[in-house]
Amino acid sequence: MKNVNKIIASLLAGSMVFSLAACGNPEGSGSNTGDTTGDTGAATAEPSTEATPAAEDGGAAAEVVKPETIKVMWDGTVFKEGENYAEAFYEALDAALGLHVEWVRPDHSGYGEQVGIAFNDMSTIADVVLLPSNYYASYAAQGNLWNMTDAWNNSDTANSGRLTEAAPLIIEQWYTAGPDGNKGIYGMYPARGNGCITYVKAAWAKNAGYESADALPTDWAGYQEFLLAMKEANGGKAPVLAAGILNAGEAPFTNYLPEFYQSAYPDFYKNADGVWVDGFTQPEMAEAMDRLAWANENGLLEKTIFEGPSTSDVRNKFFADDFGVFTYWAGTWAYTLKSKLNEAGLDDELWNLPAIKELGGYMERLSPMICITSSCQNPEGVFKYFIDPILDGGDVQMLWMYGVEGVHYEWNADHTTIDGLPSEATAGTDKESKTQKNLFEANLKIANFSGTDPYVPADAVIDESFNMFNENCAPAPELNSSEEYRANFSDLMDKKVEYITKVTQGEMTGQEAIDDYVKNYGAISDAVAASFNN
Amino acid sequence: MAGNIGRVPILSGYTSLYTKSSRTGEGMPMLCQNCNAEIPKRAPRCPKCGKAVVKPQKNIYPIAIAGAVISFVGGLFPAIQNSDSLKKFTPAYGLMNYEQPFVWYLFMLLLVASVILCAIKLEKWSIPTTVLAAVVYGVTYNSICSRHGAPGMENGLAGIIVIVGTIVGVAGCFLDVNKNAQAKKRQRGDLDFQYTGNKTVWQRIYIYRGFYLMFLPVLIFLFIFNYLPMAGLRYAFTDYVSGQAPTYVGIKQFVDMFGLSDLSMLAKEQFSRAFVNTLRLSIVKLVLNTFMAVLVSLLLNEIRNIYFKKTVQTIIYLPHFMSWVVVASIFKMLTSASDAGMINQLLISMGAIEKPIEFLTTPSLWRGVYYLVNIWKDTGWGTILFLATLSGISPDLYEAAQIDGANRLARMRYITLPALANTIITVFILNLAKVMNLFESVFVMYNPSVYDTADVLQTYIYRQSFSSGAANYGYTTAVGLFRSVVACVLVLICNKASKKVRGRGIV
Repeated sequence: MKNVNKIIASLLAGSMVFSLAACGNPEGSGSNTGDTTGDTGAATAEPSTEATPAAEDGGAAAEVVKPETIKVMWDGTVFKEGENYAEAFYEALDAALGLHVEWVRPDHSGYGEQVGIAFNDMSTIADVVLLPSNYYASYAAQGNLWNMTDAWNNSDTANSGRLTEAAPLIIEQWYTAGPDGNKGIYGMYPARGNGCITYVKAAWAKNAGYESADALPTDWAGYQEFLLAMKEANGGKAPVLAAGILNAGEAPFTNYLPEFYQSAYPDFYKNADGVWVDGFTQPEMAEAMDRLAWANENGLLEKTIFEGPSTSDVRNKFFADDFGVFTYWAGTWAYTLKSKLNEAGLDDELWNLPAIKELGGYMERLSPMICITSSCQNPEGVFKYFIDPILDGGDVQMLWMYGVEGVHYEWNADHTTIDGLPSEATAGTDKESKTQKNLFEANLKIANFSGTDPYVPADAVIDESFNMFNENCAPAPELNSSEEYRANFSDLMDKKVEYITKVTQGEMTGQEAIDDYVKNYGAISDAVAASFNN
Repeated sequence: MAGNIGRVPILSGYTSLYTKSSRTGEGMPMLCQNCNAEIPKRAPRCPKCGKAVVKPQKNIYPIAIAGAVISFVGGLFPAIQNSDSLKKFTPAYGLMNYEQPFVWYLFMLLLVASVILCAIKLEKWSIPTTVLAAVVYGVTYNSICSRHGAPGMENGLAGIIVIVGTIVGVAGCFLDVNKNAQAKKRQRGDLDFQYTGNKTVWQRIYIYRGFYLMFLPVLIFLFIFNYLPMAGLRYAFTDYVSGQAPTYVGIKQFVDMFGLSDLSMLAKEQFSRAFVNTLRLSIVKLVLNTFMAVLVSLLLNEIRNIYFKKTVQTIIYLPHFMSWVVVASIFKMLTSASDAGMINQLLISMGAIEKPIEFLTTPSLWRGVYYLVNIWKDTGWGTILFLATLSGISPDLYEAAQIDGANRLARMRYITLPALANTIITVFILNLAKVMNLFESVFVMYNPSVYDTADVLQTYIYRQSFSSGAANYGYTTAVGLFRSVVACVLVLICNKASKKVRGRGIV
């Protein structure tokens, strides 16, 4: 019996050993990089697997094969099943495009993780992936994405004459370095990235003696006084809360506490001289951390901020009247915040705080990017028949912006404007809310409709909020990627968050934190910066 | 069975001879080689003919097997590698990424054959297979050098390790054979401890074919779901980023992990901190949980009102069935430093403190809260085994003690606790083997303020893998592999300890 056990054990051990044997990969890395005619990627339909000559002459040739099926991976930013009649949108889009879109919709909150996992197997990856913005530069540099520069430049949208005034600046942000080091467009998005502005509860501010939005502070000193007064006048409650002391999971990392960070940026960025530097080592960062420490010392930061709350936790606390100053997304979110406060029986008046002088402007992030993966067998076809029509100025753009007529919206009698219909999740309930948008909102689109945009916002606060952002925004720092950056990003960002937290909690000063960082990890920081500058 | 000593028909009625002992290889009765009588467990002599029972040397050739394992490990290392300190191992060339993959398979096959040959007593044949594996390596090394050898490349450690492995394997085989021969000589004329009749392995498999058939689905299940996924361990020897094919880099990830390369000080710091935290949190938690479970069991055992006892038991079992997410939410709500924190608000309203205590964001306090939450969640569940043991203690002992004038405390001290001692040690040992499996409980409760004291290996791996699009799965797999190796060593230590304490192992 013992021998039998030994034989079984040996066989099992053998199987484990042989499992290691599969490692051999003579080709090494990059077998898929940028090779649109590779042998991977079985996701597209048969016709789309045909290589076409279109891209060779800049995409100008007309011989682009229309794919029958396109596999698309998307987060929760378009209508989801069970929430707002996603099936109707899918069906209408298929009909409008004349092809079948196969949707892969991971849970929105864990989408970034799912994207990382999906890219591990390029043979099953979707043709089109909505990529979080901070993945964009890395994935482009690694060769995971198809270079769509020529396709975009020759596209109907780019040459339609419908692009908005802001579009050239946004398109400029799409350029990033590819695997060959040359910059190109590896993804697009039909709208601006938007950004966060600071909302102030009017009731809290009035309690503190600020009678109107015009009385709100315009510089850091005024903001300090304002926060202290808010605390004093509202039962000693800390007026500020955000989802973490630094939003380390998504660029631009400082957008939830802009008044405190001001011009400081903890990641690598290109400075005014065009040199890439580690933002954490710059003097502005020390000052920013000291400002956070001051706020914490004076009880102005709601303590939950250190416990790693999610954005949802923070919103719920805002609706529970636990704090009064909240930096969050401009546009439709202004209406949502107001509605929720109203539902909670609170004063729903919110004032938009203009960017204080030291901040200059609220940061406009790079939007998530719609990318074609390097495994896609027919990228030209996917671009022409799926991506380009998103901004066709007609039916398809209507679908992406507002959904399906009769399901998500209806035309008014004069057929010039539309009204949102109740969303699937709230229809028939006492908390019924009307559909405002699908993927992107009217204020942010980068290409106009051929006619007039028929959208009428449900509430003036949406426009007010967006206008405030528009008048007070500045583009987020450019993203970059290198082997050194990718290898150290996670560890470095962890460390930076730790330092910022320690300074905020009063364990060290901002300058001490930077000195310690430079002393211990300066070599790594320098190596990353050097990799960008070289 | 005890009264069934005598001649035992092996072929007929064999099921009645199958004992319930879970001790590996002891499902069959031991028979006397001289008179074929059944020998009771641990009997020093045959009860019928009086022949002495001698435990022979184990049928394992440890040195020879160690040699094969060393050679195998050598095969994982690069044969040649980049000598640049910043680009060490990139590129690296070895058996794992050799252009002809069958060579890697052949090398492994030969070494596995060596191990199996040792296990089935054909140790002499393990010598040629081990040597042949070394020859395969040598030929491959030459080929690699001719294909990839260039200025700036240096020899890796593979060659040295394979040579050492081969020497150990071959020499060890002779040493093991000699050692066994000596042992056999010493026991000549005595009984073979393992002798169970004149049946070969295959005959015994045939006899017990029903059992083997029943075992087959489990074996297949184990292979598919437990062993096959281990194929992923190979990525520990690669650079593997999303969307890229893994590139063989030898032991680069381990070198980085231990801070042995340039610019790896941060990785080393984070890894070391996570490793130390894992051990510290797990072991303290284990000690506290076991202590509390024993304490609560003793108190429960003293409750005479059965309804009250059952109610208390039910209440304290319940937290075990709550998910860690729910438990963490409850305790965050209780201990939060914000206005929602009930404990802080209570203390402030009582005038005990002026400012809220930051339980969850102060490194020195976080551990305390973590242990407390664990005690709250798992103490009830932990009492089950102890209560079962307590229910098995003879009431006569308590009655006798009572007659002798022992009060309740004395009875607990002199009867209950000694009776529990074996179970306490068993539970402790069994749980010790799981100390590296710390994830959910920490993940749902930690935050950046307490990384210094709360970050454990699995949360570190998680953050490294999923916190950005720039994860190197090669590195995280290497950390995971290291964690598994440590866990495996702990299991083996616990197995030894378990054998010592309770006479049987846990694996």
